[in-house]
Amino acid sequence: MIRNMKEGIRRGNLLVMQVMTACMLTVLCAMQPAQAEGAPQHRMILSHHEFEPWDFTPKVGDRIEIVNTSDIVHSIYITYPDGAVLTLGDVQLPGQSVIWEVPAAGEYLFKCWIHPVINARMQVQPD
Amino acid sequence: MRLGGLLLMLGLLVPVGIGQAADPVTREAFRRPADIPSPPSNPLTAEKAALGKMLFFDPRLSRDRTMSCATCHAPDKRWSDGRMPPLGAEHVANARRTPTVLNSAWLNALMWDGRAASLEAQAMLPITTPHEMNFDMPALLERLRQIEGYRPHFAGAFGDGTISQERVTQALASFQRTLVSNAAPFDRWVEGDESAISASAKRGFCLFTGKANCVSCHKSWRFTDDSFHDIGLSSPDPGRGAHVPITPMQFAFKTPSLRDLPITGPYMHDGSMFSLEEVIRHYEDGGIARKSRSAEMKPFQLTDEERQALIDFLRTLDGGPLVVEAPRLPE
Repeated sequence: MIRNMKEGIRRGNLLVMQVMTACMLTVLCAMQPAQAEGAPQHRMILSHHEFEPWDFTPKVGDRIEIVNTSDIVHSIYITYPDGAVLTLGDVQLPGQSVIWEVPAAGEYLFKCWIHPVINARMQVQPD
Repeated sequence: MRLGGLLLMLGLLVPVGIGQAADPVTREAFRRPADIPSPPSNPLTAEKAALGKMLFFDPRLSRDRTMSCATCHAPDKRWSDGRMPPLGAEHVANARRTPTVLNSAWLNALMWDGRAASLEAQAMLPITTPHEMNFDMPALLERLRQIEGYRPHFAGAFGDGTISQERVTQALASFQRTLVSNAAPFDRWVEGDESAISASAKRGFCLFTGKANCVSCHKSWRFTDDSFHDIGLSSPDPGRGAHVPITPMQFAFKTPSLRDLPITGPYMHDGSMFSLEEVIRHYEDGGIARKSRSAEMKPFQLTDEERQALIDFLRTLDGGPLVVEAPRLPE
């Protein structure tokens, strides 16, 4: 897969490369041990076509629950500060939530594969 | 390894029971915007739009000087071509219908599979596609530099006569942003003119936003949210799935606008349908059931009268041809 990623970069096929990155991250991360229970947890609300403004200040290691309160399906992905892309599961049905842990400081971009209009940026300051 | 820090609770799809019922959608949700948006990196100006119009209609943007943007996005064909397959795509696998460029100023993703994120990025693609204009940008720029008459128009639009790829795409994008659907009977109804559309069309609007739930994706004044879905067509084209290899994007294509639809189609990304009744019946049926099919594809049944009401409503979204006179091309 890494060879394919490099090929993707060489060919300038950024989107394919990014998604392959996401797939790799998915595989690796799924093998990680569970997060300690005591980490702070915040909630992001995904209404119909937008993330509602949040009032928490995310820190490295915090858990963020993304809740789909709309009546349509979403497929959220996060672009990391280095350009890597992580898809949070294939689809998120109405009423469902996914949990993501902030891995490092930097700016994260939240988007939806199904609805490109959904777009939110989160800045995480260093500790 | 830094990936070790990317601890992710993937797969924790937890039903939390807070899904909310959709609010009733009223006609006000479809009100036309007052202004045309443009990005800060390419603010819309009359000079850029005028230059872009010349470029849009100029066949010298194609390698053999026979095809302009307007060849396939023709003003008299609702800024599409009415063809399936598109011109030059007769032998192209998975050829896709030519979409209209009307109202593209508001698009969040371009091309049927969303592979272009802006009008500026999209502008290059048809120019360099082999079965379309079949040119390359360095050769095109060199050709344009040889046309003396273009230089003052670039100077008027950008401050000097330099002809660059960025300026060509910005001008083309600017002209396309000016292509906005004419006000339709539906718009007059939104503004309060109760006589603007028929009783059947009003009933169709209720079906559109209710029982048939077309509004799930065909929302906003453009009647699309630019979302991508597999709607269960039999086309083998993987669509957005070719670029985004996750299940819901397989066979997924962008939701098209419903404004100014051509009377006889063709409809759908593959141009496989030629009447609105056929399209509506497809949604009633739900299409091919497979893992990638959109969860928004929920079969329903209309009576003949309801189906006709829905068609009557869709006809109220037609503002008539947007007439633009072809410009005189620089020499």
